[in-house]
Amino acid sequence: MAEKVVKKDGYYEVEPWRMTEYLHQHTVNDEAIKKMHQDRMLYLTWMHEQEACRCLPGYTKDELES
Amino acid sequence: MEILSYKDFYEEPVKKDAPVSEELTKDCYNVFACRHKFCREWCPDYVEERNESYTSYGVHTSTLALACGNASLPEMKNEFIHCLECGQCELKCPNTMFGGDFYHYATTTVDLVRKMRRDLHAQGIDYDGFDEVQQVIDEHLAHDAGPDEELTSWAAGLDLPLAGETMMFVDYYNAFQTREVPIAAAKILKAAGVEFGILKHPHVTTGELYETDEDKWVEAAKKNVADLKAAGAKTVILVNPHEYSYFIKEYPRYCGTLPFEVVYITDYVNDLIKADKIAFVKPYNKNVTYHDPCSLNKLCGNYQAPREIIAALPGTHADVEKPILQWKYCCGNGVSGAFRKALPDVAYKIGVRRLRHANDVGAEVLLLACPHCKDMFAETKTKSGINIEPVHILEVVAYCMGIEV
Ligand code: SF4
Ligand code: SF4
Repeated sequence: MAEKVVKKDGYYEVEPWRMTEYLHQHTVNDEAIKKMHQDRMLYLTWMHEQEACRCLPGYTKDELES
Repeated sequence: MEILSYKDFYEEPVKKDAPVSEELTKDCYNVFACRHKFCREWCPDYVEERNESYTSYGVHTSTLALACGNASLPEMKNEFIHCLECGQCELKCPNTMFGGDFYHYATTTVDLVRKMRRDLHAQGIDYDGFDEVQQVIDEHLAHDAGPDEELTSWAAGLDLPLAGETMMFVDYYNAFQTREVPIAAAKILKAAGVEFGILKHPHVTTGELYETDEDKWVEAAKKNVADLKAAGAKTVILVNPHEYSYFIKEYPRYCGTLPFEVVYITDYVNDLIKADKIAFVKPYNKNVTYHDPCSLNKLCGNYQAPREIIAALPGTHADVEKPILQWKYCCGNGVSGAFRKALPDVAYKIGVRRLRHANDVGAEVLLLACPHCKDMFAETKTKSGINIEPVHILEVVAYCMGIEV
């Protein structure tokens, strides 16, 4: 994982020079990036509603100590 | 809005006697190396055919097989036709969804499929059933070469000008096969007091041509952009989501930033409803659900306006599935109609599955925002006997406004 990243609109991006050796960055404009964020949020929210919200909560501190 | 995500190295054609480029090989490894299979489970074709070769993972692996000399181009004849170009796999691929924004490197399956179909065709290798697709292409090219009056005959009696700051672009599919859709759109806009025009001679846009003869398609794209500009367009309204996806995802790639704003009709109508420019005078007392067109929901991330329009319809009871759950649906037509032409049985099964889901939510009517979905579902309903009516959302809006289409 890159130790140095760029922060853009609240999201992290790899420093472009790191993408010059093996794979090269291709044309991805801001709208395409926004769409990725939108799709990701839709997906994660749905996953949460489907799965994560049904997980049993962990022990509380009091329960652990009792 | 212009959504651009493409790879220049896809332009180098894959040929019989030449090695696959290093960039394309690495690109395919990027997908081959992943075993998540997020792309697979919601691929509407995989759900019916259960053949992994036809998933995003499969098409990248097949291309890689060519690169590694494990397969020859003629053997790939039918490998790339089993894709609807719906876009589910590329947006759900972790390379896109969880890493695309970070690396500026995403999975672009739809482009790869189009490229491989094109490259195979250029080498004289066509999938089974291509003749029918060629027929569609020839029909559309004949329209383009034909007289102006035929292309605008759908608008007879509507008295629409041939220029204006707001232009409605009507593709040939709508103009000839589902003319009730542009007619409804035009009547709604007129009733709402919108001044708009149409092109005297829109040029060919069909996806079947795009994935067969890119140069011809691009030439027509450039003419469309130039003609719309010359007509004074500041806003261009699209009434077919396939063309909408071409205008916002492909046209800027070949024509540069477009000199006008591109809007889908449901967004435009929804804004008119919100601005109280549309008055509903009749209820539509039906139980409805809505099918997100792949081209609108998955390719362009546009799903809000149709839901808001449905919520505003008087008397309508709606049970609409979330946009994300519709990533796994397609009507069976595909964004390029080549799939339906070459694989009618699979297309039918995909349509039946979608209609059954609509039936399961208790709907009498399946509302649509795409003319191709309407045609596909009408055929599927007739063949399957599933008792649910596919209706275009614009027809319902017009109905509630008291407009006859
Ligand atoms: S674009 Fe759609 S049909 Fe094609 S491989 Fe991806 S999910 Fe399947
Ligand atoms: S297309 Fe994406 S999700 Fe599917 S196997 Fe490949 S990398 Fe994984």
